[in-house]
Amino acid sequence: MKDLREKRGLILFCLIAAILLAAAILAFQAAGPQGIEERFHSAAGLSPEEHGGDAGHEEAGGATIAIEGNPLLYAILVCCLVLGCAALYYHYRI
Amino acid sequence: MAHIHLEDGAFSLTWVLVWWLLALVCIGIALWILRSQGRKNTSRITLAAFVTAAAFALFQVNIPLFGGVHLNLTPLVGILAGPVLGSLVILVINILSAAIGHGGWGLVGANVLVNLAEVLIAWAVFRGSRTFIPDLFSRAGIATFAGLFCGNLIMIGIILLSGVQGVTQSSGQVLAGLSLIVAVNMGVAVIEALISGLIVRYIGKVRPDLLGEQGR
Repeated sequence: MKDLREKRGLILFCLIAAILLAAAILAFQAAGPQGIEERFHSAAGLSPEEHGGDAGHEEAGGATIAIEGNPLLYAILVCCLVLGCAALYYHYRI
Repeated sequence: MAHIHLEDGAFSLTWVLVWWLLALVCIGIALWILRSQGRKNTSRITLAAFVTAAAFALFQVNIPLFGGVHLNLTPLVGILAGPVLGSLVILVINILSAAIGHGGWGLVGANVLVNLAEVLIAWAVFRGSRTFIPDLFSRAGIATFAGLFCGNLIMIGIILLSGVQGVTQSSGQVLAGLSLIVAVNMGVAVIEALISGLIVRYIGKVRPDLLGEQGR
């Protein structure tokens, strides 16, 4: 009984995950292979020419891992955040 | 991973101001609660800084799955930092994201509201289902699903209410298109739920006090 109680959450989690993955695959097949920007614009009813795609997003569902926005600014900000975290950890600990 | 991927000018100025104002009111309430709590919980602040850095770093990474998606870890922010500090974390992440060109400045207010819903719901589900789901991994995962689903609903609501400028489609057509996005987003939520679940389970093993789970 205790075992079932422990596994109840995991069963529920797996069930939800399976349903969501199936729905996502169906939706992806319906929408076609589009990048984040393309998919969002076509869903909102904007034509590709209207958005220009200048927000630094990868277009057409790039096949590689990429950074959205300016990579240099991203690197600088991540470094600043890491330094800030290190300073806070040094002073306060967790 | 709900995030309104539209540029400045997509919403009319009135709606941009409405969403910014609502977001600022929410942030103001969070600041007021934080101030009224009096004594600073320094370890919680450090933890919030850690999740801010992690969530910002991951938020900008486009993963080539379902044509291109990104994770945002907002439910994990809610679970670890709580709703009050979590709302400040969300504001910082959205402002920094706009600063590097991921999303328009005018949409920061709307995106803060979307992410705030994710933080609040994930936190509430994680705390509220403790007796029903004792296992940390599953509880964090289910809280992530709930948070991201609500975030996606808020995203649809904001877009439908505001209306996208220059679009001739009816609300029904836009809703149908956005529903497909929600379905794809929720598929990605499975990955986010797995990551959040594993992180929370690990923290639960090494530092259960950070999750408020000492009594279990």
